[in-house]
Amino acid sequence: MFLIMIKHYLNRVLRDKIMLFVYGLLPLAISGLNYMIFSANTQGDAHMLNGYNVIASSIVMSILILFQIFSSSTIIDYLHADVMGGRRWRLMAAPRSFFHYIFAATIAAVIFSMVSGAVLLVVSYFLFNVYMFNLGVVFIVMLILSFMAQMFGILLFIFFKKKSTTEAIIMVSGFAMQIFAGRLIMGFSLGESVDRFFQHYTPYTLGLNAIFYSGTFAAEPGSETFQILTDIGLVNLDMGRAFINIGILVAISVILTAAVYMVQRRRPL
Amino acid sequence: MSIASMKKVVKRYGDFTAVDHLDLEIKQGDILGLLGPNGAGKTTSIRALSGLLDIDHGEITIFGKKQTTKNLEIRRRMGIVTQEITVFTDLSAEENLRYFGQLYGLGGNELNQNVSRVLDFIGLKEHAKKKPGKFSGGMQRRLNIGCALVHRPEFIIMDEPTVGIDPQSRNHILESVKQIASEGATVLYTTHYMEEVQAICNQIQIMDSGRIIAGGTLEELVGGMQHEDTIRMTAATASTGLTEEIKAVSGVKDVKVNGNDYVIVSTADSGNLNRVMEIAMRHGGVKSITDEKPTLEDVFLTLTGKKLRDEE
Ligand SMILES: Nc1ncnc2c1ncn2[C@@H]1O[C@H](COP(=O)(O)OP(=O)(O)OP(=O)(O)O)[C@@H](O)[C@H]1O
Ligand SMILES: [Mg+2]
Repeated sequence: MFLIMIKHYLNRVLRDKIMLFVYGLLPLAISGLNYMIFSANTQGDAHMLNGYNVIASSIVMSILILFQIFSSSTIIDYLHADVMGGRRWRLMAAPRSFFHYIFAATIAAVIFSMVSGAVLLVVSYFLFNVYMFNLGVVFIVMLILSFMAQMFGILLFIFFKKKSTTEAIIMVSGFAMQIFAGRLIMGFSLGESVDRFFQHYTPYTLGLNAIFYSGTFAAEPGSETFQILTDIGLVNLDMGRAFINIGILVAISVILTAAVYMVQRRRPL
Repeated sequence: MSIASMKKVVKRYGDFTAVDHLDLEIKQGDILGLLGPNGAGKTTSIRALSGLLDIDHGEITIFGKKQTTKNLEIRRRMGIVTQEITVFTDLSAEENLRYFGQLYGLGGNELNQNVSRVLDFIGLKEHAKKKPGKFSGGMQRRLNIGCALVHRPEFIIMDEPTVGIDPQSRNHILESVKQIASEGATVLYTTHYMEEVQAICNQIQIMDSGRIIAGGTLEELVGGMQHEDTIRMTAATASTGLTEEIKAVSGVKDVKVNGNDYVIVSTADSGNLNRVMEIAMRHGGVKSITDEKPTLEDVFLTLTGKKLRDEE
């Protein structure tokens, strides 16, 4: 029965043309655009290593992470449709616990977001020669981030009960994490210690760095390629640190889930 | 046999009492009409009855068991048609019916058969594969009702299921409700259209400001009213002689003449129709004559001093 409910929610998002565009095509389009701009401005092949495009890899992973974070809009769409209007009462009238609907919707949202991420990975692997780092780590990071995003979305929705407000907050916080990490506007800085925090400890950078730690490009130290790697933050293989980042992400998810549980008791959805 | 009862049920929103010591009893096979103006508390009562709201006071019993917000077994045997259209616009009519059937635990052949039965019943067989986003208001309403019928509920609650639709769809829905009841289900039907209640309900409860203010069968409600008889007549030829003679009839309180049209008001149950007709025949004949029976609208107006619904 629970599977039927998950399938139902998946079915709905897969028929939503806007969602398909935003999570299916948009990440690809942005990656493609970045790739084209970059290619038009480069000579030589210092950015190529072992057949992979170093810069494209960094860009695509960053977009992958960002869209997992934005994927809260899926759960917000569901909540807006099922909880706000008359449908709330219709669903409650069925012999199912209300919690089941929310849980099924969350799982469907996570699956949708991971599938859209996988599409981005596969396409960019073939088109832009993107390096996949450690695929296991990439998928775990996607899973945790998109689950975290759904919890964050539910939490915001409980407070604001409004789709536009909630989505605006998610957009702003997503881009803010990217900007403050110095990955959207070149040379952006808020002072060393603040920068340090945003370069390492937001969900965005925790996820991105976990992926970066999980693979190796192993360039010749001192070479031009090595310089590029250092500039874009592609560090060398360090599985231990990848797992520490994943651990922190899990901890944040657990805290968010507990917050949803507690807030929802005092102020029901 | 009592299917559902509400005893002294109170539901407050802050300081505001939406449902105020409400008593309601629904017997097996009834089509009970809950009639009331906007804001009377119909929807709130229904939500309480369906176990979707915590009530502040009172007791609700359904199928002989206590209704609570946790009793999923009672819900399985009930069907709810909400006031708003709550079907999923991205799913086809058939997929909507299937999902609602599944939520109530149906599957396999049983689900297929019931979905097909309901599609027939709501007249949407030809549109089964289409999405309700493209349907007319009436078709959406029918699907909305259909979604509550897939699991063959014993007790069906419909909250204003005919709002904003064409007369043809409305008749279709009213006929469907009668058929559902004739097949053994019990129906609670809320509306602010008194014609609907008059057409299909065998029991009527009138609600205002959270309270039941009158109840019974149509005959009981209308029969219990003190009212005036009104006769409308179009005479073949009007004359002062005719008017004077009608005025002289015992019980006649007022006569208004407009061309050949007469409106004659008498005291209740004076039975003046035949007498007036007789007089008019002697004065050149009658084109048409009717006496107006009081309606539920009049009952409501008398009880509350309010119109049942805002002018549309
Ligand atoms: N959640 C709520 N919070 C506060 N007041 C509410 C709430 N729900 C309903 N009310 C109030 O309770 C009263 C009864 O509302 P209800 O929806 O039950 O009326 P109704 O008879 O169904 O009206 P309508 O014909 O418009 O559907 C109204 O005055 C409404 O404003
Ligand atoms: Mg209502």
